[in-house]
Amino acid sequence: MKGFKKVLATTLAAAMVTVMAIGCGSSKDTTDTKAEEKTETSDSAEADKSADVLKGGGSNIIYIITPSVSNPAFKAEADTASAKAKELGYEVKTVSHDDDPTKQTELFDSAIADKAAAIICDNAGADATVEAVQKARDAGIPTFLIDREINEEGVAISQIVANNYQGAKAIAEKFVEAMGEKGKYAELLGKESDTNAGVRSSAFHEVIDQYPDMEMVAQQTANWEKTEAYDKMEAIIQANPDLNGVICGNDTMLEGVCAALAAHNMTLPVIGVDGSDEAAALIKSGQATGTALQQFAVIAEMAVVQADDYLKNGTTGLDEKQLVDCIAITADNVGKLSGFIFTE
Amino acid sequence: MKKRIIALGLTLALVASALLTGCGIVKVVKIGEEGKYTGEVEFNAGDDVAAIWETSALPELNETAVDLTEFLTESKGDLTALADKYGKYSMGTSGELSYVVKGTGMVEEVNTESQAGYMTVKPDGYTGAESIKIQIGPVYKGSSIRDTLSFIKFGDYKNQEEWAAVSQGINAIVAEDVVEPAGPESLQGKTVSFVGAFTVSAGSTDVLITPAVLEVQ
Repeated sequence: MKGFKKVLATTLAAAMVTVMAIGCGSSKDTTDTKAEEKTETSDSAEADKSADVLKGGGSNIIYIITPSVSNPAFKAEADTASAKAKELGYEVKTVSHDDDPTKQTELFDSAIADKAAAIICDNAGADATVEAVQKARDAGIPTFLIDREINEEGVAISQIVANNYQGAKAIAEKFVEAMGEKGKYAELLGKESDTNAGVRSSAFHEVIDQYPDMEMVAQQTANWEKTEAYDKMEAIIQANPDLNGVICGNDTMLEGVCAALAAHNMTLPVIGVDGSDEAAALIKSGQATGTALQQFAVIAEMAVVQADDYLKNGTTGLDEKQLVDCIAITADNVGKLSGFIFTE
Repeated sequence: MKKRIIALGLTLALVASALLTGCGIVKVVKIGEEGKYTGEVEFNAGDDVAAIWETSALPELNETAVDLTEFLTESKGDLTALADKYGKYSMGTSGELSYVVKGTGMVEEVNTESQAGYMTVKPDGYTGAESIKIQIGPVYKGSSIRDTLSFIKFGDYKNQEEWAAVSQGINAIVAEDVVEPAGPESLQGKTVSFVGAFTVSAGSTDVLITPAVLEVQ
């Protein structure tokens, strides 16, 4: 009996120890995470990062993933990045996610399957993109984000962000001046899934809402699109014949708005964001007030150069998050703008 | 003997359960990184700015401010000329260029017609053509003060909206603690001393100062 109890006790104890072991290290992931946490607590974060240099997938291909190139801004971005990458000796694949996070994930998967050396991406959502970039990172492929940022640091190598907020604020100030600080205005918003639609709108309103005599009479989305903006603007004009101005989340919508206004022989203060040549022409002809130039070409080139530096030296030597200012474009300086490049 | 076995069993059980419960919970968290484990800490620009204004921002602005009259004389009409000497670019070596300045001068005009109100000031001992304005709100343009501070940067914040909120927070403090106590509407013809920041664009001769200190002499 005593012997049995002894055996029982030992067995139970052994079982507990086993459970403990399983509970602690049931999966490899858990142990890995724990090990990482331990190094993080003892080492500095910098040391951790440098130990974690991504070598690229093995091929010589740079993937350039952008929103739809039907918007000339993204076309300029993709073309500039592509040209620079070829100049530096890379093979290039340019693809578009059309602002669809699911499609973007598929494109990242293709890049991983192609063993891409690096990915340059103007992403399809600040939260949705994190996982895709992480997946590439796990496959040893460094990602360089351009134009739009994501809500996570330490996943991408660089985030070269167009300062939409500053640009939209700067041009909103010009809009308020053109309106004489008062009057009724309408707003056309960009695609809701795109972070920048919200960023630009809140920047516009941070400025405009401070003026008590500025009254917004309509706010609708036109999904960044020209035709949709034209149709929405038609309806807004019908409902508000006494409208005094329009703010647009981007320049393609500004084009649609100006066309609709022109069809009614109306000229009002209109602003956009992007800095396209089409918008520049409308500013020159007096049909639009201004736009905020996002320096797409500059940003795209910076990203490719940083990717090349990183692949060759294991570091870009720069902060992950880099903010690139927008430039407010009005009749005063529109002559210096061409092909998304502002020449002082 | 029986007691010994029970004691042994209990001890093992205790040790095992202690390890079990302990497992995965005891972990060292670096100061400032608690958010990673407890979930996102709500960002509050107002609190964030209030915490830096008196202790860090004002001392730095007071210390780095260059005398406006000397600055204007030395710049000879080109406000970007002294970028390397006194200025700070928003993007390291390019972007928007901001300066911190100080001075005294007579208030020539107080403009409250525009929501973005300002007063024009003639700095003591300066006769140049530049128009010197000090913002008095209620609308404050730009983010000059934020952009001159050396100890905060975009990368410290989650995204550009939080970064913008920092500037809004600073401008709110300027409105409440700097401009309002000075009673700007009654300042015409009076002499004021100021410390503040302004941002220039190429070719511009406008100096629009956001004040961090504004006192009637």
